[in-house]
Amino acid sequence: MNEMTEEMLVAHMKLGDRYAFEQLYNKYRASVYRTACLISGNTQDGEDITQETFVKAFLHCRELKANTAFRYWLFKILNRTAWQLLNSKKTELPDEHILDKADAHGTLLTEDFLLQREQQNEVWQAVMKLNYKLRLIVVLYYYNELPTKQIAKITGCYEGTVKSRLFTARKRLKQLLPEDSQQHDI
Amino acid sequence: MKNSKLDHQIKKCLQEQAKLFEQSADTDNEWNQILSRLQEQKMEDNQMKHFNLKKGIIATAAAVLVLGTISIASGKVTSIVSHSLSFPEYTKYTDLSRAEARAGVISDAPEGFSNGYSFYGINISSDSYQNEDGTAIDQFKSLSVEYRNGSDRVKYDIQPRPMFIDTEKFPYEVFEQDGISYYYLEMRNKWVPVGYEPTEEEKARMEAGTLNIGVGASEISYSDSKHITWEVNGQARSLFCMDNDISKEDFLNMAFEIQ
Repeated sequence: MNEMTEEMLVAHMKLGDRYAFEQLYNKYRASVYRTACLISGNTQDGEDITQETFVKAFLHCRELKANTAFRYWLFKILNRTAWQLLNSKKTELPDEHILDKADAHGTLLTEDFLLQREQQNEVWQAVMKLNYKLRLIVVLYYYNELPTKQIAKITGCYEGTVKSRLFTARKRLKQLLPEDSQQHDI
Repeated sequence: MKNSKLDHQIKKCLQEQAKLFEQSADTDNEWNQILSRLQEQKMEDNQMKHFNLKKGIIATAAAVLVLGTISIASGKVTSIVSHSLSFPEYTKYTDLSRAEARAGVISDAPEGFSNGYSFYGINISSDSYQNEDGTAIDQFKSLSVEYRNGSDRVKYDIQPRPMFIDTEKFPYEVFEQDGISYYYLEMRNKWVPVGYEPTEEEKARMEAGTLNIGVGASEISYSDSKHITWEVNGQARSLFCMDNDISKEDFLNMAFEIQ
């Protein structure tokens, strides 16, 4: 799907075209869902945030001025929705069973794999210990691979603030991670 | 920003974690849930049907025909309120069993009829029986399966409640097939906005069973409807069509085919 096609879909969606909305949903569902889960730390909140994000996107799509900016606008909604949900629940617990579910798919558990898994879990636990604002920046920068300029638009703050928070997050993660886990290549 | 080992660790961790989240995702019905949320949130295209039993005859656009007085264990029912989407909630016939489970009914709905009507979509409506005070004394979900033949539509509704029929008051024709009684009725309908008061002539026609007034439309309009109602294992079933030239015989044969 090229940018022009998405722009047309957004324009149609603004006219109430639910087919166009469905096409956009199909395109962005996976990335929105994964981002929501990474920010919230669990699939249940991730699902709620995802659903609410798309509902709001359709209801408020006429407020989007530039149809080409749909992706960033959608993630802006995701951010606000996640913040509201997590703030109201005041819990930021990761899904402790997520690794068990992965094991159920029959992965070969070699020693290297187990070591990798343990280090990954340590990094994930450290990410989940960051406060919401820092964790959001980390997810948008490292997982969604967004430039700091775009992250600034999504979060509604200055680019300098984004860079500052990214620096703080990395420093905090270094403090949280065991030294040996930082030295090994994954 | 340097591309350090830590950067690589964080990126790799989040990518792997995202994959794990995706593996445990339950997205089968997510799109339908979003559509349902849109409907609840904005209430656009909502067809709220409020039927007052005091007027005599009630015919929902979901085609359950209720006549006379309904009394249930919780009290006397004086009105029925029904909410449903205006577009199909399910568009695949293979979703029928899931929809049946949600409504708590067994429909035996076919994928198509011998006269050419074929499956179009399924809706779940939220219905409630209310007493004179407007208090809901019974609430349940109903299943509505829509069939189409070109531009003609027929709706097949199933409620997890017995049917209510007053054969003394209204000119039903009764047909027997395989031990089941099928009640056939043709009706002239007037659809009116909330707050409409029928004229004396209209009241007389309603008492005579020749006119039905349905409340909940945005403007006044008229239509002719055909209804067939029967009961299977304590669940009311009905076929309904509006402004449709289908013959009585053809319509009855559709009901007979549902087994």
